[in-house]
Amino acid sequence: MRISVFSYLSDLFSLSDEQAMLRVQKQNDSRAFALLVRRWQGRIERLCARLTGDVHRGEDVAQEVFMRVFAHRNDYRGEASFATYLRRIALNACCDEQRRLKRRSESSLNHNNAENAFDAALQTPTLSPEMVVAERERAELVRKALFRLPESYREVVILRHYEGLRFREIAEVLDVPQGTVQSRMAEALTQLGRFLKPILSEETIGPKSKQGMSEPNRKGVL
Amino acid sequence: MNHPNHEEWMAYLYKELGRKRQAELKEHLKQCSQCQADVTTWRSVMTELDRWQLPQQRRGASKVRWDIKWAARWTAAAVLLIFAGYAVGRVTVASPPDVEQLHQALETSLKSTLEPAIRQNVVEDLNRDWRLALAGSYLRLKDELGEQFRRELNAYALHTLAASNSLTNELLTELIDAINTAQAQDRRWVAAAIEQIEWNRLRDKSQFINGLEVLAAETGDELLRTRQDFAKLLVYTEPYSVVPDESENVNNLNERSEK
Repeated sequence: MRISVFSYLSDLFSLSDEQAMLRVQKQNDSRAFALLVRRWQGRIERLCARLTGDVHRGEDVAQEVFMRVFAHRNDYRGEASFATYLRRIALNACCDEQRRLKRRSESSLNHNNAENAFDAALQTPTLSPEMVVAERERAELVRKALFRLPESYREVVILRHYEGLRFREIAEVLDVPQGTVQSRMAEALTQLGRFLKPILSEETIGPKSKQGMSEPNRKGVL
Repeated sequence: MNHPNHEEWMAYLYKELGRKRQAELKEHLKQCSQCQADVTTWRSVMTELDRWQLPQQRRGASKVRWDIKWAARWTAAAVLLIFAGYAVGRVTVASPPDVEQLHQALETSLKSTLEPAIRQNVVEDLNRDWRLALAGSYLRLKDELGEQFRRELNAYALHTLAASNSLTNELLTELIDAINTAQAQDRRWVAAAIEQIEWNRLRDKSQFINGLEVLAAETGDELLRTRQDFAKLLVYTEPYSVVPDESENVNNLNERSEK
């Protein structure tokens, strides 16, 4: 008995993700599913935390992602790698979550206040931004700037910059050409450069005041 | 100058180009101030992006490895300390080495450092497995229950349908019977009525015939008596005249009665 359990476990641990998923599909093997979760939970939680902008919400959404994978286990056809499939589901789940959150916050003033605080922090004219904004607040500004990007750009930035996926892999996850991914990345970095101009290094601050003034209008159009 | 496009610069910044192309772009960057400005901005944005760090994760593989690494370090430190103490003791006090004590000290230090970390890891792993297995079995159970419920509902629906069908059939037969009975009764009544009418007709006819016969007989008698009366009258009034025909007699009689 002990030996059979041991051999079963060692067998299980040598499985690839795709093989484990096949077991989940064919035999409802909860151990194989647990193996997949153990392998991927950390990465998916991190990805969801980045995509939702909140660690706790990221954890919840990651849980939801694995639930979806199990509930729709027979939808996985093995055309893409399991990693790609899983990331696709995570992106969708986070997208749903963001939409839900947006609907909820549209009625409350909280959201607008946060946005205004962000703009105010960026455009405080009397003190140099480096003096105003401590390291942690700067990180917060970066996060907020990311969330001003269109979703399709933000996804690319998060997958490439934070998750370290190659452009080819991102193209696979998003199901778009690689060139599109790279041009979205360039556009995202350019826009972020514009959003964060006041806190970027000294030499780029030169034409800041003019750009900074036009910023709220541009946002108003969006 | 032929500038590389933005897509290619992205591949350059994230080091996804081949070595040769990477070197070419680097060379271009040295000469082209326009591209240099773009790349500088992008690089500074990338640096800013690095500022947004997620807090250390509470669980996951990296955490486990980290714990073990630290436990190993502490163990090593404890062992070193014990050996140092032992060496000092050996040098200062000329007593025989206490192997038992050393063994115990090693054991307790190992226990105190390694055990909690390992135990915590095992507990965490078990907890997670358990939760996932529970979630899996919950979903499976839900599927199964749903299936069973549908099956029973179908069976029940079939049963009910069959029962209601047979009941409907029974009621229909009863209805047909009732209609048949009513029709038969009606027919009987109609037949009886017709018979009655026929009987009445026959009776009326015979009465009518009788009446006619009586009338004819009485009329005949009356005529006979009238003729006799006429004859008598003739005899009484004009015994001398010759009577040519009966009608003339009557006329004369009428004229006379008028006078």
